[in-house]
Amino acid sequence: MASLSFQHVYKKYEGGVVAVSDFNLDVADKEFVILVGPSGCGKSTTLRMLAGLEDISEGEIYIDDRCVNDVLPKDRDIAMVFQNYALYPHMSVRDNMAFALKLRKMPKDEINRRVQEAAKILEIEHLLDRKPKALSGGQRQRVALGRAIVRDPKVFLMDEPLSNLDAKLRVQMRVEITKLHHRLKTTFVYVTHDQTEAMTMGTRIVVMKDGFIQQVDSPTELYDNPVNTFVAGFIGMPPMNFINAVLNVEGSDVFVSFENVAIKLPERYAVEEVMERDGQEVIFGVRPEAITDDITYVTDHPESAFTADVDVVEMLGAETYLYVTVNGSLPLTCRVDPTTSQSAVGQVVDLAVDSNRIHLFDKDTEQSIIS
Amino acid sequence: MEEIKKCMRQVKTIISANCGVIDTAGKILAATNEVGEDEIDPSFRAVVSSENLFASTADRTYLKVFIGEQLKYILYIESTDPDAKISLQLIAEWMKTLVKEKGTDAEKAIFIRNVLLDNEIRSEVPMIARGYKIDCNDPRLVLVVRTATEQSAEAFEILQNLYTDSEVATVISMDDTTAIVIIDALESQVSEESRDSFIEETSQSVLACLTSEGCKAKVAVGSVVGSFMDISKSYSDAMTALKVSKIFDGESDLSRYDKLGLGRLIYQLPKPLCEMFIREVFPNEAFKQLDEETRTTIDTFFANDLNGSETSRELFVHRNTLVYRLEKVKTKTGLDLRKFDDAVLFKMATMVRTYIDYLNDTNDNKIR
Ligand SMILES: Nc1ncnc2c1ncn2[C@@H]1O[C@H](COP(=O)(O)OP(=O)(O)OP(=O)(O)O)[C@@H](O)[C@H]1O
Ligand SMILES: [Mg+2]
Repeated sequence: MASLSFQHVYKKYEGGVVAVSDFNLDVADKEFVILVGPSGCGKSTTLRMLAGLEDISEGEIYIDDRCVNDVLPKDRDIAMVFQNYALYPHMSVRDNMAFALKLRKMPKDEINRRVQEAAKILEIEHLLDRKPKALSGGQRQRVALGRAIVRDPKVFLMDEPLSNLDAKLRVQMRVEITKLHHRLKTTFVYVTHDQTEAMTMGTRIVVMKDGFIQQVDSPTELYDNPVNTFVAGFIGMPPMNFINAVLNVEGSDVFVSFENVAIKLPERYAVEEVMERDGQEVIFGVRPEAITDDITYVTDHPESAFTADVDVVEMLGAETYLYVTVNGSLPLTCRVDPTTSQSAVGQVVDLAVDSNRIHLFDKDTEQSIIS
Repeated sequence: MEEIKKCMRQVKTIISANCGVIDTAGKILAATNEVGEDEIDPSFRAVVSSENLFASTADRTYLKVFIGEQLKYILYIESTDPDAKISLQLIAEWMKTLVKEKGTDAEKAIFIRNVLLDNEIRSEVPMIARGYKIDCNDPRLVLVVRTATEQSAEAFEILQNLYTDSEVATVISMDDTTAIVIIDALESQVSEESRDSFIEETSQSVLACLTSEGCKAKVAVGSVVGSFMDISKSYSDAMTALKVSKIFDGESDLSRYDKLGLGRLIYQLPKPLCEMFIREVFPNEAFKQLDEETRTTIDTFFANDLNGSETSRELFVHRNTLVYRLEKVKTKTGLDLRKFDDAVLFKMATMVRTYIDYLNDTNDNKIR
């Protein structure tokens, strides 16, 4: 059990790469925090600094109010699980799990007790005498978790622990790890580049890009109120549509216009930050599911309706993706309800935007205009 | 030292009275109850100056332990029963064998180090090896483990704990940043595939073991050789892997000799040839004109096997943006990276450039 605090942390590698910049984050005791972002954004580097495997170039990291900058890795009371869970091939599962404890010269009884208990939690008691070769991918992953659990650490660090598993197993292990967190009641820091994984597992997510934190929020907040176009585009599949548009103010009404379309925004947009941009270019963001081809909705909302050509219809069962083009030039993705959708390839279709679920971003800074 | 402590721990399970070992300076090296360790034994002087092998105080019996002619240790037991002397004699004999074995361990390490460095007469290796109970016939794989000086002792200890069975692997300390793991590779002989997974699993597990114990290490893997006689080849391959991957892939913690690819080839080229090649492929320093963004784009494009959709997805740019950036590269360098031949040429040229930079940085100007 431990709280964590990163204060203005930087990592500059030899050769000039600044992998992490001004990283500030507080993690509460027992929290499950996820670091997510594209390849090379500095997730592993952040984790490795916390673990003590990389020096901290600037700033401080605290574990339970103790600055650990100069604390040796082995004295930080942390356990790590990596992508390459690499079990010790010549040892039995039991010895794999006991290894770190034997190294610490823990009494045999205590080692046995801990291994047994961890094996029970992970439901691998029947595998203890096997060698890693005789295990499935999922079982190996459990043993890797077991090796970390037996240490009874203050903090668990996991760096893409599931990325070597196939898709189905990955989904299953996500649930397992979430359960494990509830059961162990310990602080977890989990790294992934997969936004779906982050959204399904994390209670709080740190989105990173180019070494900078972009936003720290709950999954729903990230989804509903992304602070900039990067977060908006990174979170959610298929990604948000970004449209270059112009803001127009007519009296107390605000419109966004693009191509041959003008969409009236709800009253909450009649505020100064928006009104002062009359005539200016903005980035208009709409998630695919905020565009509908439902006839009733479209008829009821003429102020946000428009037409488009249907290029592709992708039916996935529970939902249907429409890939359409507006005015012959602007491509959009829509996620519609297969039970009501009538759209077919080659048609011109009537669509409407749910204007309560739209986003406006500054054209230059790409920051959200109102939150 | 470790041996003596271990011995005392085992004595504790057999003899109920507390025992301990004192060195010739009077310091208690180890005690079964761990009391007074590292402190000076108060009766030490009196015991040493006595003529007899045994000495007694009010509550303790002492025995001097000689190895050869030399007084090496003094054992004590917290008892004055007649049986106490017998116990002490037994412990003394036990300790002598342990300490002696330690001696041959050190000799064995020196021998293996010499074989690694090719400093032994080849025809003599099998016989000496047999003396140390080393099986000469099994194939072997050598791993070089590099750590910072301040972590090397710790890394060595971790590795020794990982490989306690010398039939699986032997761990040798080479210098103050390098440990060597010599692994029995019989398992790798079944098929090409089994060799690959053997190398991968073994090296990854060594790296993971060190990392999860908080040791930052680089692991380099040599080639599998047919017998203990040839470990020097595997060792020198591992050292090459370490160097080459440092030049071409500084970030990676694991390098395999059999996966060095182009790097291994370029590493052999003389500098003038490299410079000529660059002048021809990138006239007018065209490479330097590519900005950071473009270079990242190219790296990602290569990492995704020239797959445009994957690349744009990973970079979060539109497909057209990618095409535009690649066109820009074409204008500047004359190479169309979507074409296989041009991509190969570009890749080689960037690696040759990296190599020239390395040579310039290290002033390693010798012509190979
Ligand atoms: N040892 C190193 N030396 C120099 N630069 C490094 C080193 N390790 C990482 N980097 C650089 O630091 C940046 C961040 O790397 P990091 O491994 O933290 O990214 P990541 O977010 O974990 O990415 P991925 O999703 O690919 O694992 C990258 O630009 C990387 O090239
Ligand atoms: Mg990473």
